[in-house]
Amino acid sequence: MNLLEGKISEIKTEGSLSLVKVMVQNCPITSIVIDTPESAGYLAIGNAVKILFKETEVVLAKAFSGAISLQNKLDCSVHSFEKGKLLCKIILNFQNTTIASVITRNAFDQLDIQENDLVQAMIKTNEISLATHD
Amino acid sequence: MIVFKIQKKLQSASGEMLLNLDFEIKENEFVTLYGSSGSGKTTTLRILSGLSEADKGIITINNETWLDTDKKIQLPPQKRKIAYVFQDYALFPNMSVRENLSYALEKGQDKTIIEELLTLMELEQLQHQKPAQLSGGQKQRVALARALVRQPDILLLDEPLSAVDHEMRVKLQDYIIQVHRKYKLTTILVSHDIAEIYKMSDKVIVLENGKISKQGTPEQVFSSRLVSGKFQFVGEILKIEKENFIYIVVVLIGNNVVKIIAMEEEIRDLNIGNKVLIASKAFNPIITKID
Repeated sequence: MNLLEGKISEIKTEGSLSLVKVMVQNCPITSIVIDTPESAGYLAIGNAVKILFKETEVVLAKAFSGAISLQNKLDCSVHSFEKGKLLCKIILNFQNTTIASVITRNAFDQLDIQENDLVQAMIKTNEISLATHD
Repeated sequence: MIVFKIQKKLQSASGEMLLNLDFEIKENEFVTLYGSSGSGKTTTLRILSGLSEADKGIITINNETWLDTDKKIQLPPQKRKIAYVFQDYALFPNMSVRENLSYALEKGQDKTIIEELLTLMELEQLQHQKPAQLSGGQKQRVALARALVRQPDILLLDEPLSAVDHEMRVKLQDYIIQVHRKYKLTTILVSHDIAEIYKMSDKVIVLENGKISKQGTPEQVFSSRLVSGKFQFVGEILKIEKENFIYIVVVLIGNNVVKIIAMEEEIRDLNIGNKVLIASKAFNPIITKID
């Protein structure tokens, strides 16, 4: 599980859903949750939250251009990787921490990933969980 | 609404302990008392039922005073509309299932409740058997049915499921939830099983050395952090398989075995038998009708 820490900067609510924007230093990350500021006390502008997402939900792009619906794009560099027959795990430097992505070996080979490569890590809005200490 | 404000000095293994509690329970709420042994859970149930005396305090049930030590009011146990089920079934061995239930009837009480409970608890087939012929789970069902004969308002369950095997335990939990809802009971359960607490309780009260250390919903009490994921279950790790740098964690949730992919960093402090919280976004699961 990848974990980043940030502060809530914006909350848009419709019915019982909220789109929550969290600033991780200067990088915005959005999450959609079935909660509202009324139902969940931690949903307040300025609150510190943890951002959680699974390694297997992290999409990688290299020298990407064109339009894409994915909203969360993290500029990273490749720290290291482990290769399996089917899957590969790539450790990425992001800001002053690391995150991991697990993609198929085929995708890894097609992207021709090498150490220190600049890549974008992308995560769908609905794959991001928010957590808080109680 | 139950208002419970009680003090009682207890002798525990580690010396004298003051049970000092102040809590409220809403009508029709399902509340679990959780805490290590000797923390005062059973004494709390005994004081509520009138089987033990408090040194000081008050108990009111919907504004009716059951106990007020200052005013010297103490309603005797038989006048409190309470059912009490223990781990020990305490059935009469010489009586059949039906006779055990009928024995609990009050004078002049309508007997139709016996048929209703035999049906509800699926005991019709067993009604003429003696307790010795029944399994542990069946005996506990009879004990639960018997406790409900007098149509109590409050059901107290002191670890009633700890002596039965896992499968029967899950079934008995369902029976308890069913009667809790059907008879609009206010139920207080003593349990150590976190999965059971999640499944059954609206609220958990954690006792430590005779005092309330924490209370809230099971999520608030047992999750070390609040995760926004709405697809959450508590389970027990059965197996951890390694596939290269990926781990497959096999988890028992209720009666179902599920598998979860995890990374090495997540596995480090996980062992077989650990209780774990499984959370996912509500956006991921696929829902399909089963015919």
